[in-house]
Amino acid sequence: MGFKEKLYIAILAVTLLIFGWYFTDAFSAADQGYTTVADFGPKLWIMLAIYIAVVIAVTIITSIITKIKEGEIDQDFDERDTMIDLKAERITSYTQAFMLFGVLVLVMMEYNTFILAHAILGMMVLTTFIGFGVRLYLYRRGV
Amino acid sequence: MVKPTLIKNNIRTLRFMAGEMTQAALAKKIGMTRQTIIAIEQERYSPSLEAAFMIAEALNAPLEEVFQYQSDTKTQDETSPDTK
Repeated sequence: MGFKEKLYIAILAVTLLIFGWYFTDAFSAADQGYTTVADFGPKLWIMLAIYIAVVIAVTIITSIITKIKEGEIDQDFDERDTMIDLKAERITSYTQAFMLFGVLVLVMMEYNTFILAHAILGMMVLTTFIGFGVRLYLYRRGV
Repeated sequence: MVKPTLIKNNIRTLRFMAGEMTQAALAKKIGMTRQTIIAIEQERYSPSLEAAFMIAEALNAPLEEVFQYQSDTKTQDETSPDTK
């Protein structure tokens, strides 16, 4: 298993843990009748910051480890990695478009801002999750 | 689970014949990652034409000796029309 595959597994595990915990909390809050984001305190803002931090951290960690490994392997990214990235991005974009449509339906059904904000955050997290999952699948299965 | 490719190869054998070249050495020589070389050897990835030529050159072997294409379709019979 290559370095990228291990990194993607780590990202998927961390994403699942953090956001799984958060959305469990959010679902119970929705059951309790929370209708606005303000009702939930700063938690949503914190999760948004965490999401952005995870994306930035992945980019930085990948760059740092690539620099460290430069002495061992000259090429850190080749045609196979590019092809896998392109295929994963294509699938991710279809998924994102589909989910965006779902969020639009929620807006048209006039759901409250608490539900809408979490639907959008859920869409972003799920899209990221699917993107890394597809990459892992293509690395293992072949492309 | 593994998606099969129609392109078979003898890279592993030719590597050993080329002075027991390691996967890392071959990868470094042609500018690819070792993981990609492993995927090619295990037939989980079909390299681009350019990469295929670079691999053949690195192994000092003709392209046909390195890669073979296995078609699933049966060979069609070739019949010449009667010109009488």
